[in-house]
Amino acid sequence: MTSKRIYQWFIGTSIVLFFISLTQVDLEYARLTTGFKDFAEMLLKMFPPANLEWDRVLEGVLESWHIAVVGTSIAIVISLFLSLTAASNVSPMKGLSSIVKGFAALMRVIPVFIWALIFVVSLGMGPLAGIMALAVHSLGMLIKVYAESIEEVKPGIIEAMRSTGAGWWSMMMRGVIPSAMTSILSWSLFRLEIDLRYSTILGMVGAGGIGLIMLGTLRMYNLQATLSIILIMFAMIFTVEFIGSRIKARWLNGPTKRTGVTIG
Amino acid sequence: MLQLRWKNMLVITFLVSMVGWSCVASEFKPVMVITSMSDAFAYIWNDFLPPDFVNWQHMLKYLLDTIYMCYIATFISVVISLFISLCASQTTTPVKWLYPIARGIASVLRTIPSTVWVLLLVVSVGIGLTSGVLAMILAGVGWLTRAFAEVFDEMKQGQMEALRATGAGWVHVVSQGILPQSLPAILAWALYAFDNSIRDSTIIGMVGGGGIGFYLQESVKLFQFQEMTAGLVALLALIIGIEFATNMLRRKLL
Repeated sequence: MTSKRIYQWFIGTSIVLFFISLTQVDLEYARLTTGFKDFAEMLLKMFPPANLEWDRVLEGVLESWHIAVVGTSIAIVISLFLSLTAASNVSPMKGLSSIVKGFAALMRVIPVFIWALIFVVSLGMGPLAGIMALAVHSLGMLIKVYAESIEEVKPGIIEAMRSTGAGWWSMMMRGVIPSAMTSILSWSLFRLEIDLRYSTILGMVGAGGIGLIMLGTLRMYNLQATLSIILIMFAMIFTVEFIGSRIKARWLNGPTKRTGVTIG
Repeated sequence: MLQLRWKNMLVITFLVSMVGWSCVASEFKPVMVITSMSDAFAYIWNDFLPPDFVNWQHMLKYLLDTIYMCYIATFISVVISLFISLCASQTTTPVKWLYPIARGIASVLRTIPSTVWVLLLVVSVGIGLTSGVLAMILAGVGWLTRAFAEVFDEMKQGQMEALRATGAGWVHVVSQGILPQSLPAILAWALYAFDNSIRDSTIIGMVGGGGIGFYLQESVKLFQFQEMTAGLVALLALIIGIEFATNMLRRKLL
């Protein structure tokens, strides 16, 4: 069987490549064993979780939440307008569509942590850098998916509105956006979920929120407090995931079922 | 579902007040979108552009390190996940009580972000590739286990039943029935995991795990912004290239 041969060949090559990679990289094997012992010892030292300054941690949790909400809202508002110019079926100018889509692709392909790094350098450490990083990165994804939702609007609706002599603007507001609303809403919610997850760890590059506080406790080798914060982050991410899946299952047709969009 | 007018208004009011609260609490004013964007892009324009490839040999080393480290981590996590996921699927688990344990391990590993793992490993193992690879393995095992377990859950039972009926032991059922049948799906997930780890390597490097992310962070710390842009361009080329390559392989294999 030829397909079996392909698999054998593929697996064989990947094993060979694995050993080649091992020789190319200076992994410290000695460190690997002792390090793992140290790692386990450190994990043990982290128990029980304690030593927490609750008010600061609560502040960090809320800050993460605010960063995600504000960043996503900015992206939603801007993308709603830009996606109207990016959707090829309603775009006012032909050339504009591909320019906006190209812009969105660039925003999307640069990882969110690079954006955070750039904004931390240019705006200083703190929540503003996190907000802007999330906004810019979300913009890249939302423009794309909103434009796709708008492109799926039935041509009949657009034709009908055009024949009544409606202007471009009222056509968008009364015909196109309402018909794409369900899918726009579910994508926005999905993006909020992603941003909430990012906002917990964005702090580790200096962009505010709970991550920044964890970095502080770890630098001071306050291991028990670090574990408490990790548990809180765990709870935050878990809650967001749980509520998100509930909402999607109940009210909206989940965008996660679609394919062709890269997230991250 | 969204039919009742007053209900709509209620939802909108709620959402707007949430956003308003967040804006007030994080001291964010809508006008700051424009000011901070223009600040940041002026900064990018003046200090980050054009990319400076002067240190390209140095950069290439980090870039290659990234590829190797992602490959090693993906390979090891695929192997480990295969074993754990066989226990984490109800149809394939050899012993019933292993199932909740395997599921639990996977979900803890998955929910704790890989950056947290790196930070902890950097403290105990030290800054560098070794921590990065270990963190990637921990994170990779978390979600690959779940993905593989779902593959096993969706498998057709007939073949396995037939094998079991002949009196084959668990190892035999796995190697003759389960693995051959789910191989395409597993390889597709493995390719996706490699793709994903290349993206993930940025942040892992930035918090001390080696690779291109480390290079980016270092050049920012040394105020070599144009070199950072060069690294960024190389990283984007790598991300796009790897995505293209894995997509092609996936089409070949499936």
